[in-house]
This record gives sequence, C-alpha cells and structure tokens, in this order.
Amino acid sequence: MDGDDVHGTLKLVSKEGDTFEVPIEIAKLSNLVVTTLGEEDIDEDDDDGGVVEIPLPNVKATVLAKVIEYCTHYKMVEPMTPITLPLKSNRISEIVQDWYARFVDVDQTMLFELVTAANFMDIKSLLDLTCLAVSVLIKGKSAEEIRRIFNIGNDFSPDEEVHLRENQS
Amino acid sequence: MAQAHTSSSVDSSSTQSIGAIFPSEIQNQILRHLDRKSLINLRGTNRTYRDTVDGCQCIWKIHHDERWSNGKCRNTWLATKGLTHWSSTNNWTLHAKKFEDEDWFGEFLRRSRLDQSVHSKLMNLTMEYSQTLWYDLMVEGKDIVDCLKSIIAKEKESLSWSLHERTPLQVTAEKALLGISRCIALQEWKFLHDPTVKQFKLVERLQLEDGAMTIAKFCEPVKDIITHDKIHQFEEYTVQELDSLAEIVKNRLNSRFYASIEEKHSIMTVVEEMKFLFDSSGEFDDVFKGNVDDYYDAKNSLISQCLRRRTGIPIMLAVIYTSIVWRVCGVQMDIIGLPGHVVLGVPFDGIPDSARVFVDPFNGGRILSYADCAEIVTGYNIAFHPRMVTPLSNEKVWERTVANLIQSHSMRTSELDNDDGLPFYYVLRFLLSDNVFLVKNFTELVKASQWYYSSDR
Repeated sequence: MDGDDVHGTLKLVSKEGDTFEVPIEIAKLSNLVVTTLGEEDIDEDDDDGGVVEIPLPNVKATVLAKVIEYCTHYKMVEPMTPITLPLKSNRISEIVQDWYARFVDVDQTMLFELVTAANFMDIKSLLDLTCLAVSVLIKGKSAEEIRRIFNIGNDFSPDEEVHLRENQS
Repeated sequence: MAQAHTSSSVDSSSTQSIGAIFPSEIQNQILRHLDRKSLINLRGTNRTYRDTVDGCQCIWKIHHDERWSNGKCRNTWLATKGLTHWSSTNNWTLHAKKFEDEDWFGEFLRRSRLDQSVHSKLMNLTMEYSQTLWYDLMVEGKDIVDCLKSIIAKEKESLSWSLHERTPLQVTAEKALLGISRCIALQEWKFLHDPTVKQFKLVERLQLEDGAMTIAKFCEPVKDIITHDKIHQFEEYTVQELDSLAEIVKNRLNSRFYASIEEKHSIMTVVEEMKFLFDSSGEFDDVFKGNVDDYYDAKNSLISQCLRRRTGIPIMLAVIYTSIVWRVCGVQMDIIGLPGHVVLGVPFDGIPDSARVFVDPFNGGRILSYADCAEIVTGYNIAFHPRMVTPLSNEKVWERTVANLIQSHSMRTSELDNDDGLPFYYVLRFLLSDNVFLVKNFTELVKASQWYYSSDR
C-alpha cells in the first residue's frame, strides 16, 4: 500500500445506491473494507485515477451515515474503551465514554439496524457496543415489559404459560 | 452526503424477535450480557424468544459454571484412570451425570431445583433423622456441595456475634458435606480394591499415591471443605507438588549428566540424587524429615499434609518417595514393610538377597543393604526372617496407612468425642471392615455406613 492511500478516500455505497465519500483511514475500521481494499490492491495496482467503491447492499443510507459517524469519532477523536466481560457496570455510560453511550441512545429500529450493519461490515467495537445496548434494553425487565418495549405479542398457549411459570423460579 | 429515505423499513424489525433478525453469534453476544433473571423473563415473552434463549446453550453453560463452581470439577483425579467408566457401569455416583444433547438450559434448571430442595431436606433432617432424606442428599453428591456451602455461609452470617455457636441447620449442612466427601472417598476406595478394575485397559496404572489421596479425602475435615473453593482441593496440590519435586530431581540429573530429557537415568543414580530432597545435611532447605517429635500425629499419614509439612511417618514418606522416583525414571520401587519400619526396595530381578539395595526415606534417604534391613528388625527385638523383605501390594500399603490413622486417632479420642459424634477412629474402621467390601452399590453403601454421626473434628 502506498502513501497516497493513507490520505485518500473511498466510496461506500448504501443499499439505496447513495454514495458516501470517506477517508480510507476511517473506513478501515471496518474489516470488510480492509479485506476489499486488499483485493483491489492486487487487481489495480497502478490505477491512480479512480476512487474505490464498496457496495454495502445490506446497509441503509441512514444507518450507514451513523456507522460513518462512529468510525470518524473513533479514528479522529478517541477510540472507544473496549468492552470486556464481566461488565463493570449495568450502565453503558459507565462502561464506555459518554459520546459512545449517547451514540447508541437511538430508537430500537435504528439500534437493530446498527447491530446488523456492524456485523456485516465487521466492525468489532461497534458490534460490541450495539449488542451491549440491546442487552441493556432487556436487562431487569419483566416479560410483560419486554413485550411492550419490543412490541411483541404473547403467543403462548395456557399450557405453555403454566410450564413457563414452573421454570421461572 | 445523500439523504436516504427510511419510511419503508420502520415497521418490520420492531415486531420481530432478536432471534429472527440476528444470526446466532450475535444473539449469543447480546444474551451473554444478561443476568439469569433477565434471560428467564426474555424467554417468557413469546415462543420465538423462548426458543432463541433456550437455544443459546453456551450462555447457559457460562451461567451454570458461574453458579456452581463444583460443576466444573465433578471429575476427580482418578477419573483419568478408569474411575468414570467403572462408576457408570456399576451404579456408583462418582461420574458426572449425563444430560441430553448438551442441554445446558435443562441442566441449569435441574440444578436450580435441586438447590431449592436441599434447604427443606436439611430442615427436616435437623428435626428428625431420616435415612431416606440422608440418602437423597448423599446421592446428589458434588452437585449440592456449592449449595450446602452457601447455606453454611448464610447461617454463619446470621450468628456473627457468637462465633462459637452453630445453628442446627448449619450443623446438619456440615454433616451432609462431610457425608458427601466421605461417600466419594468410599466409592473410590471400592474402585481401588475392585479386582475387575485390573482387567480394564487403564490409561495409567493405579499408583500408591492414588489410594493415599483417597484416604486423605476420607479424612478431610469439614472446615477445609468449607473454606476451599473445591471439595478435595488438596488433590490438585498433591499431584502438582509431586510433579514439581520430580522436576527438581530430573533437572539436577540432567545438568549433572548432560543427558537429554528423554533419556532414562538408572535407578541407582536416581536414588542417589533423591538424597537431595531427603537428606537434611544437603543444601536443599525444604527436605523431607521423618517426624520423630510427633510420630503419632494423624497428619503424618495424610499425603497432602506430609507434602506441605515436609514430614511424616515412614510409610507415607515411602509413598511420596516412590511417587517421585516413578515420575523421574518410570521405575516402580517396592514398599518393604519391615516390622516397625517401612523402607523401599530397588526392584530386584533374581539377584541374590545380599546384593539387593534398599532406601530409608524416613532417615534422610539413606541407602541400605539387606544386612541393614535385618539389623533394623533385630533392633526391635524381633527375629529376622527373609519374608519380611518381600514387597507389599498397593492394597496392603493403603490398609497399613488406615491402620496407622486408626491408631493415631484412638490415642486422642478423649479430646475428640463430642456430643453426638462417634470418635473418628471408629469411623475409620469402616474402611477396613468387611462391610465396605460387601456393599454392591451406592444405596447399600449409604445404608451400611454410619459415619455421618461422626464428629467433624
């Protein structure tokens, strides 16, 4: 990899076809990007004109914008404190920096999409953070509360309800 | 940056479960942050969630292992030597219970329910002894050790002002712990004496140290069981200590003879080098000495105590000595039970008696001749006979160890008698009685043994 790449940019293409021009250094937080660039390098080594485009057919533009926001902060401001087990606290803000805690303070749809995007783009720290955020939504809630938060119906038969109560203890 | 429209996708994911959206490795990552109560609540929301949570077996395994430290170590040292197979085919309870299809959730529930049942069984036993209840506790064995320990800890807390008092529940829980510990030892004892075991293709042959550890298990005081993380924790220490002592001898031999690690040293070279560990005139600070000052201390017969205190009586020092030599050069030395003393013999292959070589671990690892052995015997005013220098079988060595323990404890029985306990020497006799050899299964073993009434020393 030559010096130009370090300061260069690439284009990430969302599911809808929107392109986001991102500095390569920032985009490389995604292992998917790293792998793709590796392949490109071999193919078009002396191609100095074109900017690499990486299609992300599973990631919606709104979500991709959030992911890029995350990567930018991670690379340009400060990296996230790694999430290690066992957790030090039940509050996200006591586990990672405030900026990251606020970053995942989003509606549940966005949070789920972020999990999927982090997984697809292979950004480990973002996946750790979003999975933690999902678990915080569930933690300490009763079954009824979880149903309300996740907007899910109860499809248990009366027999199953009895069985569940037996196992509850 | 381009604007994207999101309206079309808002509805979908909020009505789906985590399981429906995410691949299983992500589910695991989310669920592993949840405590047990939250997991149970989550699986109570609907069918999809229930199946998702139940399907995360590795999460339940983590919770299982966290909650029950003994769950991780249900197999003992002897398990590597055919014990597990013997146990499962002969109706003993030493093998870890199998559960279907690695169903850790089911196992978690089973053990949770088991823990809940322990408290009421103990309460009932506190009021009135019942053989059925006692058997119920014994049969669960290591599975309820963690639970019993936490009950004892809670009871202790409730009595923080009167340190010497014990609640009736605590007394019963301690008896149950001791009973379980001894049931485990007794089953191993059966295994060690089972003639059919010799027919098994064992990974490793049974060693003297194996029986010595089983005896030490039987004698493990309840306070040790309570304070250590694991039941019979000394076992690990014993094996490690023997290994590291053998390592010391090996390294010294290798550096002296520039031998490669694979090369076996001759038994005579090893026996000479062993003086380093046993002869106090040498430079090693931590030598083994015969305990002449307190010969009848029961600790002198427990292998782990002898290793820790670096002292013991002749037979246990001989067991330690031979266990180290076996590790160094693979030679099995003979245990020679002279009347009144125990020495070791270098295996002889039809050489004349006068040429045989013996070692006395109790006295600095001194090397003895045949004539020296005869002299030891006549020193006790006993006429020497050549059969006195024939090797003892493993079983005989173990029996002699138990006999020594019985003697040690019977000498101190007055101070050990307590209100409801049998003196421990009486309990120990069970190991040598016909009863232990006649019982055919675990039920009979529990019925035949009365050691639960012994004092906890």
